[in-house]
Amino acid sequence: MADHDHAGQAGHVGGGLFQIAEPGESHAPRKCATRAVGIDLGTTNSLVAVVDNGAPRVLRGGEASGLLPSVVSYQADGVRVGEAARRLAAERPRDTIASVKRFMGRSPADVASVAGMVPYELVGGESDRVVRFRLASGREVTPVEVSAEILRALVARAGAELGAESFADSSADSSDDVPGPIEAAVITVPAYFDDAQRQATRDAGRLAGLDVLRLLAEPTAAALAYGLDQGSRGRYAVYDLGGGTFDISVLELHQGVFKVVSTGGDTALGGDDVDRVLAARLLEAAGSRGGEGHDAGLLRRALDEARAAKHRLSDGPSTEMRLGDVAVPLSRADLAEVMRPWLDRTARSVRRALRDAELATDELDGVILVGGSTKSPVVRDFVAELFGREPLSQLDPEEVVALGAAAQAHALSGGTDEVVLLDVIPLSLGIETMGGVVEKLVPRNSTIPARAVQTFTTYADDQTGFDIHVVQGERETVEGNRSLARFQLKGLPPMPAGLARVEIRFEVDADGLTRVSAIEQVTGKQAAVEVKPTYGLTEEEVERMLLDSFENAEQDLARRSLLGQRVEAEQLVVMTRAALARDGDMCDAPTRAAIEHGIAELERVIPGDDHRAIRRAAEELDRVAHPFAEARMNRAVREAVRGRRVDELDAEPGAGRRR
Amino acid sequence: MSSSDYFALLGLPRRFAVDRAELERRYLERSRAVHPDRAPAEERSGAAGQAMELNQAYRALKRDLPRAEHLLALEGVTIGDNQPVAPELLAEMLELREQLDEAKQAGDRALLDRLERAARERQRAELGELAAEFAALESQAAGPERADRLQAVVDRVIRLRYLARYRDAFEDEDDAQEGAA
Repeated sequence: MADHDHAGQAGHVGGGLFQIAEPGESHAPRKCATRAVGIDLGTTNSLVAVVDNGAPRVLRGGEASGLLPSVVSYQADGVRVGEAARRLAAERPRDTIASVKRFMGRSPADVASVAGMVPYELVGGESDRVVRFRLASGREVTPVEVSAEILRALVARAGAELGAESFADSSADSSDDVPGPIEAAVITVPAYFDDAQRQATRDAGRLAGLDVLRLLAEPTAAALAYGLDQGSRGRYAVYDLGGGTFDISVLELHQGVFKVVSTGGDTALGGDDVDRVLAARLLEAAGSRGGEGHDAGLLRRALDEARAAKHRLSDGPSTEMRLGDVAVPLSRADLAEVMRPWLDRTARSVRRALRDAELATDELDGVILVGGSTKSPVVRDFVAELFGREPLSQLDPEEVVALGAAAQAHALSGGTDEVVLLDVIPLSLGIETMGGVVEKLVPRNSTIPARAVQTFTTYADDQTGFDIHVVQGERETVEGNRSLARFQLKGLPPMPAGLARVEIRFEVDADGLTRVSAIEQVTGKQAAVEVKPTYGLTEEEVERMLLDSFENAEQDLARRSLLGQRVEAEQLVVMTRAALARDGDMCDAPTRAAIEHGIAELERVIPGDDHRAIRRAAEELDRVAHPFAEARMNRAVREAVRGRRVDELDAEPGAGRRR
Repeated sequence: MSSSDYFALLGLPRRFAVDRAELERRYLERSRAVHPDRAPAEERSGAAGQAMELNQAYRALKRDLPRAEHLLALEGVTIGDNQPVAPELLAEMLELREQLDEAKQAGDRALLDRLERAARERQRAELGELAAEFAALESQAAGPERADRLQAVVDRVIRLRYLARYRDAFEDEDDAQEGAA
């Protein structure tokens, strides 16, 4: 690689340390909002709750039920959300998106199997990272945008009920030059959501103008709600079967600490699947079939009827599904039979979560039910049998998650500091090694925040870069897991094979989001990085959407850019100082003086508000330190040729076989 | 990169026998102190780093095999993937895996459960032996005999690794079923 390549790496400053992925602003200072809400962003229904006078309660916004149907309908005169949207579903199936949560963080290839069974049009080629819905008007919307509409409706509902001006639509605050009161929220996600799905949820929150304090696992939220209400202690399993997902978590509650011991589940499993099977039976009886060329309106009506019939079975032993003049009888036993394969799959997840927790069912103190599907007697009986005990159900399984989210939002926004939550990463995080085999770096159920460090080396002489493929999942080979990102390390100085030592650091923050950074240790040399997220929206796409929807977006971006520059600049100062302390003897007096001056200058501008000034000072320091960096690299290479470091490398487990 | 002493980090004596209640208590106490949610904004990223290290330490000390490996690492011993293994251990593992494969093929849930219970008991017995070896090592003064004791511990840890991998194979079974469903 040409020597000039490393001079002036575009967009990056820092002596060998660089940020590869930056999910959100996890290091940005968090504002203390006036009032923080808890949001259960569900597959079928969503809820918003708040802590009032020390106790969480669901906000109904004047409606009878706290449940806002998670349905968004795009009409010429505006967007409808909730019940109004659901009423439009049969009439305007292509413009009305339901169960959008199933599409969060998913690529077109991921959802190909359901494409024939949903009444709206999915677009996106094999290579696209994000699935889109094409509306009748030809407009395309992403799942993140659809979810943001639901979040906006929930915030509006909260505002209507609390009457607080802080809940007003963010555009109403544009008269203020200071960033207006950002509404803060804790949004729940299935514990089993992977990085791409969490990222998408967080993006939806940002798009709706919310300061997302935390992405909280739904079962954890449920336990939080129970724990706060009852001062419970002991070990609990949370069995959460919602509209589109199944989660199982085992938690230990004591002394105000909620510790997740293990978690598992399935992101594509829930009541919606059952509705589809029942709807297919109904359509078959009516002489129509799903699949290609279906009548979207008919399909929607069949799905609605299937769901209604399922709910009727909670009250009586049998009912019938009707579509036009066709009637199909349905008994509780029929429903149990249809649900059995799904329930058996939940049992497998339960067994695994208990094994990870090293617990037997009789060592649990209780089983908490969450999710609309657990209201079904069929499900309750199954759970009672599976755990050998009657499940707890004092709190409404459909509200318990939002209540727990509100409690956590209250705690995080400074309301209390009694509760500490220790959550876990649901899926192992690893990298692809030779032959498509996955090496797990952060095992599932590690408490977050978590960190793993792995050292890579080159496998050919004069190799100047290599590819790193980050995956999430439990399978031994790459194909069975979710690909999160591919990135390339470039610009390594030519060295003999096995000499370079690139330390890749994976950090999972308290939201379960992953960051990756890298340092070349032998030389401290800067390397260029190219990130190709394999799923989800790119940072640029999210930013473009933000620009479309916020008047003050420019300000936000400048602020974020400033924060990023500050962090990088501070890192550069620390690393340069460390290098001087270690190898200062390699530096002649004028160079040393120039470096010292560069550090002083950078430190002077870091506290200021001008991100360009920080960038310029950092680049200048990089430039004057260049001869010193060169000298350090040369010494490192000389030492290597003498064989010392080669020996050290041989002792490093696995060095040389990874790529 | 686990050069830091997790026992020191959690304020526990550096030995294999661990008081689980005490480990739990100290971990929760320190977690409360360093959890990023409770840190002021400007200290948050530093607190996150401390929390990460604390979680790493807890994870390593909580379970027997990682704790044993960490103790060995502190002794300067790292066990690679290609350690020499006693032939009778290999033979036993091969036989166990054959049984497991047959049970999987037949889809015999009862047999799978029985095999897993047996594996768990076997693991428990080996752990008892390991605890005894460690106790002997820890009371042994430096010298050639200590090196022998250390080697005995290493051998035991290798056996336990094989057993742990065998138990993982039961988990793969659930994964495979999930994939097929």
